[in-house]
Amino acid sequence: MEKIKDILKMRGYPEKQAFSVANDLQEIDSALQDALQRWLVIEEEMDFQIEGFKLSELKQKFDMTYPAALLTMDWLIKEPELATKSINRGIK
Amino acid sequence: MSNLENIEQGTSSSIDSWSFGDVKDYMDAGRYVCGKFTMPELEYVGEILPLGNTDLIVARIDELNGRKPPKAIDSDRAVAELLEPIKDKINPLYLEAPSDNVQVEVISDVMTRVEGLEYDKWKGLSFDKQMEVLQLLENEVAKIVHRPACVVVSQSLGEGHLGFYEQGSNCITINEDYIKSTDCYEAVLDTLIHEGRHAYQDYNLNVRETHPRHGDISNWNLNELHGYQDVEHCGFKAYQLQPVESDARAFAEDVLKQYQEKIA
Repeated sequence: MEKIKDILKMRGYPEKQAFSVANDLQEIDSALQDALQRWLVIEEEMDFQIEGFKLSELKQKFDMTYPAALLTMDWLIKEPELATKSINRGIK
Repeated sequence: MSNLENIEQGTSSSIDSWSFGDVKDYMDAGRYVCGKFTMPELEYVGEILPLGNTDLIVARIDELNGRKPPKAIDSDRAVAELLEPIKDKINPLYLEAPSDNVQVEVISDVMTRVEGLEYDKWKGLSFDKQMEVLQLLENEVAKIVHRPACVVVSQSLGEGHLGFYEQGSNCITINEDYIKSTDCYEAVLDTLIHEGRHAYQDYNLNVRETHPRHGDISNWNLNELHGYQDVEHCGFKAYQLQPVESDARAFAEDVLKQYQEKIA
């Protein structure tokens, strides 16, 4: 947890957000674990498509960091209806 | 008719007729229940009521409350009853806001009366006129919920970004591409009400606590403690579930639902 938090801070996350995002990343679905590790170690950004949403497109459309997009994909796996509704509603 | 009778009957009375005696009578009549102010504190407020200087009244009540941000000046029941005869002379920004249910009811009512807001008229308006209508609605909403009105502006924000409220500048920005698309009529109204709710949260957290449910404000304050969870850094789940966002979303949905029912 501390290690993930430190990496996030090193890559531009503010302290409070680094803490909560690191916490959420620890619970990420096993299907996304490999992608998370690759990003943490070599900053590689693997792409996925879940419930019709492509990670790279979401990331670009909503100006997301890779961990934020990864957590959104995680939500699409765990609660597809809620996550889809929220993404389609947009940011306000 | 005594001032106490006036209070009990809910009628207004000249503020000139108030004195220490009225406060004492009021206390002696056993009406001081569920309040936090002591008798000398109520007298301290009561003694300046005849002056009719609302700034001074607000300053004294705030001083006694000793809170930052201060609460609505009528949040204490005893003080509220003392202020009743002069309430219409006090700026609503200092007074307790209606409950959420009442806010939703009154805002949705007002929406049925705002000229140009109805879809058939809205779609025929020029962009500038649409902006005027949105500002008019924002002014009405602000009055109802006891907060300062925001300036409503437009900007091209890109797809998926509907709008935002900016703390400090008291400004609501709506994505102009959505305003220009008649397909997005409901989303625009929802965004205006949603951002207005953020302005209300901000006013309550940082300027004056006028919202009648302190528990809601404690929840909104959790955002201050943990930091705002924006989509850019935290993803959609953390963004959607944080207290200030879930509250604004639910509030706007309730208003829009009631509005749709009223115009159906």
